[in-house]
Amino acid sequence: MTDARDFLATDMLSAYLDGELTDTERAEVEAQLAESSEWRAELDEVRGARTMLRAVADQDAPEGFWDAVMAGVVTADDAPVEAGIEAGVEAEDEATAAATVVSLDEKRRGPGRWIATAFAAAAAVALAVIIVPQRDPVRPDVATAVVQHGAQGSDLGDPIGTITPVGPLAGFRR
Amino acid sequence: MAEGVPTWEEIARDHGRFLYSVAYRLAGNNDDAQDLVQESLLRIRRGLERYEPGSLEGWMARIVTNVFLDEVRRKKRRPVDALPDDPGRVLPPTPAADEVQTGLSDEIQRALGELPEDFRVPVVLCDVSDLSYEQIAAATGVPIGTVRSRIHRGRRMLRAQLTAAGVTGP
Amino acid sequence: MTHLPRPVRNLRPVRRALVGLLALGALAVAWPGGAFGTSSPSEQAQQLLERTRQAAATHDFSGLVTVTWRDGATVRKAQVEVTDAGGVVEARVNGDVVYDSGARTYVKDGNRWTGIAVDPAAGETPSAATHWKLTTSPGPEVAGRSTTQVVASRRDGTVAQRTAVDDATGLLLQREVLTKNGKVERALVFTELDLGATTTDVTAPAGLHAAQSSTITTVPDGYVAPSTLGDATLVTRAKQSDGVLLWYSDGLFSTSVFEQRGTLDWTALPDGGTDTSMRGTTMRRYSEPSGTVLVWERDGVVYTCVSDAPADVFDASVTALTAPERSSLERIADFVLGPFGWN
Repeated sequence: MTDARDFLATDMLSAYLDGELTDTERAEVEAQLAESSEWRAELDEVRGARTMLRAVADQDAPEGFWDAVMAGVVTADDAPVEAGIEAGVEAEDEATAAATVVSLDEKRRGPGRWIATAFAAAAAVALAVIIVPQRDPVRPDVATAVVQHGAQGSDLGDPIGTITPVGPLAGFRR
Repeated sequence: MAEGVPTWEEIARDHGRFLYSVAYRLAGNNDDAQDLVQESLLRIRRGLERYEPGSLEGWMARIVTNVFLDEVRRKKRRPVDALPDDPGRVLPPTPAADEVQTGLSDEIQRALGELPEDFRVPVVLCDVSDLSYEQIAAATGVPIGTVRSRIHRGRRMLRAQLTAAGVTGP
Repeated sequence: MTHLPRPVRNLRPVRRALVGLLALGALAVAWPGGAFGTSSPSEQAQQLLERTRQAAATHDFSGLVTVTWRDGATVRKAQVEVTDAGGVVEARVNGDVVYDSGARTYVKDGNRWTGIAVDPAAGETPSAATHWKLTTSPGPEVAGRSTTQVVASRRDGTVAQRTAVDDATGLLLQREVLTKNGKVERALVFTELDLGATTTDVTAPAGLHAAQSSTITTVPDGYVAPSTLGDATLVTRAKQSDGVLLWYSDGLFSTSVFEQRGTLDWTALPDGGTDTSMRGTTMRRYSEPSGTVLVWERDGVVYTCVSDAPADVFDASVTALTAPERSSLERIADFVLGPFGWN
């Protein structure tokens, strides 16, 4: 006897646990669970994995993690140092020396600011910051761009484009 | 900044645990988690201009996922040679700071690390950042049906790994 | 609806003229007196626009054109001599010359020559009727000649462009691009026109190096190339020595996007622009006779965009380029998720 339930896939079990099934689907899964020990076993499997992962889901970063991250984000775009530097934490070994970096204190609310100071010092002691490399300055040739636009238009069949060479000359002093 | 839109520093401060958790579970170690969080905060900062108040955690989780997947893709394009010691690294690889659950957490991380990214990502987004299947589908660019089957298979794989390692549950 | 075959303008002028004549032949019977048979107004308009393209390839002429363009509150004006000899269009102002011979365009400014090579089309330009409402009507008298007018309107009914096409030859005699408020943003009009064989006496110096440009099918990493810019679709991509060139068209207006990686040296930009801000990005804007230029930088890319579209159309289309760097996953997520309540 072919039963519609024979065509249910067991991956509905995860969706069932996550509340992602429609009412109809849920009823079908529950009916299947009542009948099939294989389905029940598989449900236990995935429920176990799900529960375990959710139990350890939320965690704190290790000591120093946020100092490095925040410093990296601030320096990555050369953001200006904000006023009101809050004196930070001394370091023992040279890896975290010199720069006064404010620790991320999660209990603190209010308008605190995250500031990495002494960029020069940070660079000198090679903190784990990602410095965006200096890029070459670009000087676009705007006038040529305008002419090229006209040329492209006329070449690609723009019906008006054949006249656009008229434009650029009157405009830019190159 | 528009009303109701946080600054990136506020996001880092108020949602640090969340960001770290997702990043750590995706990446598997603190060094990579650090890069992942940093790059995500950079994108968050840029993205805040266009952010409209909504599901902040969903939005952040998406960003972290994309940074992670970008990095995975980048690594796939270029085979990685043995990495030299990076003197710029401040933090030696450390296990999670929460001592009480270190054992289980580490075991789970090890098991997660064994999953291919295609399975690890949806499982982490579901169980660590608690996104809906629809949100996960959007974040990863695959259909919901695929999300569902990958979460299921991912969890079965995870369970198999944990059982093999002798971990039976909390 | 039948479309005329699109001519390939990088054919040598003589061959181009023949292609043009063949295509024109199809229209020749239908044209005089507006006997378009059963085509709709929109089709008639498109046929007229097609005709203008053919006309420049098949009719030699010389004439004077007055170009006006709005630059902020000022309206500027210039007079240009234009000749078309065997399909090579030449325009002169005060001794400076631009001449366009299909695949190559040369500019002489003072004593300096520049050559620009344009690669043949990689894609099809879309039909103008897709995004514009086109109609025809009897046109004004221009340079003493009778014309038919093609009007292109935006979806809200405001006119974006009016072109007057010479009834006898199909040459474009007048073009006006209008703002949403109905002001003329840019216009060109022939004040004198003489048909007949002309010769061009300008030649570019031998061995002139033209900027290298080669068509590519995918844009390298680090550049942004959305497949659409507002209503315009990406038609061609080219790699140049210092970056990437994208060309978008909506069938009526076109936009070129030059991208170069690096940081913009604002001091090196030409004078005469105004600084403006769009979605938090500072931009330098220039209003030119042939179009508007916007220059800005974002996420390590310097953009130089040129468009002949009216300002509102251009500004809307630039959205795709001023969004923060987003992967396709993020864009899909934006579309699917939309706003959720605060959790």
